[in-house]
Amino acid sequence: MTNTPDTASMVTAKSEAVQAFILHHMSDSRTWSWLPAGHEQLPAFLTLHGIMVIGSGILLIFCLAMACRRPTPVPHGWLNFVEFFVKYIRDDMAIPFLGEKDGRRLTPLFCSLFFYILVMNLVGLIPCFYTATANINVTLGLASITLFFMIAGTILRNGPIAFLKGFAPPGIPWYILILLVPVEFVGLFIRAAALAIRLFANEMAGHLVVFSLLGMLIVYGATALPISIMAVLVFIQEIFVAFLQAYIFTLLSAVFIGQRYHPAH
Amino acid sequence: MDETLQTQSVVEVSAHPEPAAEPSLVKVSGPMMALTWVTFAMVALILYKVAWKPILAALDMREQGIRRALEEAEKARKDALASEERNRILIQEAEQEARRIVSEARSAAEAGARQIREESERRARELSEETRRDIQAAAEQAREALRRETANMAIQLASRVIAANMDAAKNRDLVAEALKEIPRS
Repeated sequence: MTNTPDTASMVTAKSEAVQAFILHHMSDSRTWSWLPAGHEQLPAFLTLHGIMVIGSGILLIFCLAMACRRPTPVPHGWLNFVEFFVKYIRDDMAIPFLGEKDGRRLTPLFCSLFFYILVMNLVGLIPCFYTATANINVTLGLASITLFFMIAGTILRNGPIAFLKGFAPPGIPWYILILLVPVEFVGLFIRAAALAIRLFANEMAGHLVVFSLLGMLIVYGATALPISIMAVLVFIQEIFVAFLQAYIFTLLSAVFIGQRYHPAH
Repeated sequence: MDETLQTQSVVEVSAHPEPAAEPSLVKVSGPMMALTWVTFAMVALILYKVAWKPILAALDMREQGIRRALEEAEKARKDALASEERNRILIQEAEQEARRIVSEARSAAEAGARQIREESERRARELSEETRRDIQAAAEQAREALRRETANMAIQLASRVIAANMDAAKNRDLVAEALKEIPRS
């Protein structure tokens, strides 16, 4: 490569092309790009992330139905793996933050949240597939489920008066409550939004880093070959992040719902 | 690969998506959120039926089994301890009983031995007394027999003396002769 104005403009063009590719790959669209070549135009009512949302659900149902089709007193294989997480979610997330009765009742919800987010995260790591959780609408949708249980679940469980009283902690002077109640009320939605943004940002950032590192290979050619090692390491870290983010989302959902269910604590 | 061609292919890939819509990472879409709700609701419902319910039931059953086994083990441990305590008490009582029996047996044996010894001594004394009486009786009988024999001999001697009393010399000879016939012992 010679250091000429043509080379510089070529590098600039490549960089812009790579940026455009990454932006297209990360954002939702109706064109499924099959590498190394070929594009599939999706129907008008479907988007890439929509397919990933539905496909991840079907994949999760299929895998768990296969794992649970022959119940044995002692679990083996995948069922053992699933049971480990189910037990952890019930004993270390649901019951500690919601109490014995509510914790056991809501364990299926948290298990569904955890495994659904995990599968969507992991599916996004497969080449030619897309990360639905890197879409803010998907994470907002999931967080709104948590918000639904924080509001509707609490009203059903404790009653509307108790729900409203939850915004005014006992023993606080009235003039502080004037400030505190609105803050608490807005905090309800901020918590849910934080859940959504945290998951969205982590998943999107990981993919952006991997694509950016791989894009350097395209822009700078063989000179940037060592960068590919770093891309592989970040990709491996993404697998860990997929589990970590599913865990954090589920844990914080349990914490937030538990705070509304038991406002005294 | 020629760099111009490589750039062109990348530009083509990036330029392919629908040109009308500008891709955005944070574009809020109501339909996508609704799709997420509906999909999640269906997934959660189906998973509750096919996975979570049986898995949680199996977990509960296994935990109950383990809890029951632990309780039974604890009960067995307490039973074993109680049984050990009972056995210890029984052994203690048996040892006391054995000591009492041995002590009683020793006392009885000592009493029996004392009784036997006293009986033996008494019997020995009686035998000794009896023997002494027999000896005395035998000696008395012997003396009586001797007296009778001596009297008989004296009578015979006197008879001989009287029968042969002719002179003094002859009497002496007779007496001497008779004396010779008397045993010395």
